[in-house]
Amino acid sequence: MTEYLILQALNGLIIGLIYALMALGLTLIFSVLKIVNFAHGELYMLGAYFSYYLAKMFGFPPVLAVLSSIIIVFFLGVVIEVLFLRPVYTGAVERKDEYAILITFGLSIFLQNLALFVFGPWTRRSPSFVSGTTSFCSLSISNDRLVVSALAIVFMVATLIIIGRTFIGKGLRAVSQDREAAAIAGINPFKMNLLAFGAGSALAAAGGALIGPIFLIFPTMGAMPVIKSFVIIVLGGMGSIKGCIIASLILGEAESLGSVLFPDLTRGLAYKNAIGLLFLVVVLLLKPTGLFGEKHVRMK
Amino acid sequence: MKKHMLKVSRVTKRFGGLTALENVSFRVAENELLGVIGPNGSGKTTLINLINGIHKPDNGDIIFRDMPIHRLSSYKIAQKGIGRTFQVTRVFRRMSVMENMMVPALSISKSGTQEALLPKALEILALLKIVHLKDEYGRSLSGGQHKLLELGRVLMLDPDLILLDEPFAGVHPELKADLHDHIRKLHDRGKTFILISHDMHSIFSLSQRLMVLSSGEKIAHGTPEEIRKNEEVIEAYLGN
Amino acid sequence: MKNLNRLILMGLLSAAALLPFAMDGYWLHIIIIAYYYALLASSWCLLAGYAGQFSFAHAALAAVGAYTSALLVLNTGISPVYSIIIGSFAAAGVGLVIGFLCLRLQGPYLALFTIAYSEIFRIVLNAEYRYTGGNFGLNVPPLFARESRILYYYTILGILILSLVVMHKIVTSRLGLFFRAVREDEDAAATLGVNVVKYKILAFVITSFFAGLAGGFYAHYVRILTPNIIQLPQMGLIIAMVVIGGIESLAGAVAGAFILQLAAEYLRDYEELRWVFFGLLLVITLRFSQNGLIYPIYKRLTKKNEKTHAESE
Repeated sequence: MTEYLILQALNGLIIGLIYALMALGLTLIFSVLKIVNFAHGELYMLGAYFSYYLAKMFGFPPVLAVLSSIIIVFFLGVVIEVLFLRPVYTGAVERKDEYAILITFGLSIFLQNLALFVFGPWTRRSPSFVSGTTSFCSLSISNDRLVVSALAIVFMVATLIIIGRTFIGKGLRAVSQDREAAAIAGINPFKMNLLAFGAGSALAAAGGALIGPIFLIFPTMGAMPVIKSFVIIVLGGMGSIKGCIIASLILGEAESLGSVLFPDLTRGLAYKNAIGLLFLVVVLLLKPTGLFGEKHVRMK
Repeated sequence: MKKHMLKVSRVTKRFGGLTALENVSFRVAENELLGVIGPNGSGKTTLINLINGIHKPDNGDIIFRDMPIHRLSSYKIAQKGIGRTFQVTRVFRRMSVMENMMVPALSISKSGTQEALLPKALEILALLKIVHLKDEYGRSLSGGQHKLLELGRVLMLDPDLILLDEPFAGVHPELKADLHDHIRKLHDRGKTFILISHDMHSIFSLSQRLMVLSSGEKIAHGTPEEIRKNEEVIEAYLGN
Repeated sequence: MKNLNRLILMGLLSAAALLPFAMDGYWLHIIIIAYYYALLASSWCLLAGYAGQFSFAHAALAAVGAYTSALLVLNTGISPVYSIIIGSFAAAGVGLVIGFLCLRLQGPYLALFTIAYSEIFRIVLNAEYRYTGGNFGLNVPPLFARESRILYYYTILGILILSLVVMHKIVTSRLGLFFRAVREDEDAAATLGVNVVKYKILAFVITSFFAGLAGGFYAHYVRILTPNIIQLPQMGLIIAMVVIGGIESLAGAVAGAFILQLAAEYLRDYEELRWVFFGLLLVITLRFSQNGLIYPIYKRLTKKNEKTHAESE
């Protein structure tokens, strides 16, 4: 039983890391553009498919396929921003809040059905990074899971360094705090929007590409993780990076362990996905700024 | 001495660590035109927000015609007869000018129909010289027309006390003169005003009495002549 | 303009009344489902387009009506006629709670809250399969003992017309005016004497009632319920219908529901491609024509007419 619990905890950690990548992207987009990207799950799905096809059809080594897929989705994000989200900031659309919700939601429907049409409804699995398993004491873990965790951590740390230590990161943070002041200080907020949405999309793609060899790839694979990332950003405080990472790890563990500890196993599995949603509802009602957030962010 | 319409006693309002208003007291008599001046951030708009219930005071009370109103919600205060305009106009953009006018009219008359209230709305729009715009959408109006529409909406409430927040900011000189006229006319008809403005010429010529706020505190009050000579006021504006 | 409107309305009503005599059972079924969506779309239009509350819980509220009614009939044996009405009130009750809880939530926060509510409800329906049938589906007794599609057709047509008349009355009354004022600017509306809290909650209650009504009829017509009627793509379909029809027009929403439902049927051979097309249409409409595709065309048509009828107005 204890071994099973430890295994579940490790699973929770890996899932938590993938959630964190995705939610980090959502956080980045939200803090700079003040938009909740409802198409985030589809960018995750596309990340998985691109990586799969690059490896399977063009023979890319798995890690290179993941990196290339991330870059492709980065540019896809840039295109989406220019075509559909820029009007929010140039005043070309009214009802900005609602437009942003509906347009990203519409994009999610479009991309999901496009994937269904192009890739078909079949499930796929990306090739392994490293096959086989590694044993620690009496536990054996697949190498893929180890590689995935390591890469997820690498991507996350790289993002944190870019945001925290570089000139670009400074610009992003400045725009997230005050668009107008940043513009006066010589930072182009449009460029930062572009970067934030591109990078946010890339992070979603990273999550999808990494999950490819462990779980299955299919057109609606983003539906559940995206709702998880919503839970995480609300829990983490809509825009707080630290809060987002902590909340991801908590949610990953809560789900993995929660379903084990639920007395009735079948219902436990069913209710697993409701745990986070209940968190979300309660947090929104009691402390709309999230557990770790400071202030209420809303588009003007 | 005329009867007091509004009594504000020892009102304090804080936002987080920032004190917007500290222990401010004053009274407004029936049919008075009180001007409120003060540097940016001195708490003028906060004062209006407290009187009309958008914010609740942390301390102190606000009595309107012997009734405490500082715990009431905005809409109740409006229905009791206090109307206001906003510093940055807040016209309903995707509603026609006439629909904008109908909202307050219907909110105070429980049984009134739009048809019954139409003549009154047309009369006010004619007074403000924007009756030709009655079917235009709020968003297609100019900034000055927004100011007029806001005033028109307030008049549809038929309030006894009107709070005007920077009515002359960003307004064309011709329109400003018109606004002066409107305010004087309404005042002559018995309306009571609290007027906030940075436009010293306007506020000194319109107000019967002035109150000066600085850093959330009331530092002076009196007739325009008295305020003009008040050292402390000059200090607040020019000094640091 | 009034004359043209009346003419179009009379034409549509007589067409709707005569339709069953010109169609086979299969197409009648398609139209019945179109009416169901028209009721959902128009009530969501009232909530989102007029009152400005972009809720994603509308499909879930239809499910509240559907499951309440179905389970009532199955467990107590009352007539579906009553259970559908009770189900509608149950949905209105849930709408009341959602409206109350969401008073302080705006924009993306409201969207997230209502998505979470819908998902939780779907998960519960799935997990409690002993009572709800879960994903295997719940077999629901029919509304009419007699197997007659025409009966169902006129029933939903009646429900739809009645609901639209009520919603139209709301939209043109003081209630509709206050809904729109609240949508535009809550603070400004409050300073003009509008009880914002009351009208926000009322918008949820009224529109949830109609969603529940649609759901109740659907349950006893289709006769099998699964939690999938709550899934986000269902909500997406309702939103697409309203957006393409015109988010500030009840008639536009009804037209949008019809056109999408019929187009989906006509383009059946294209399978997934038609949903790609609808998704694209939704996104492009949002981006380039925020008043929808159908409403502006209608506006232009009637505008031409308006000039000639200017005096009679």
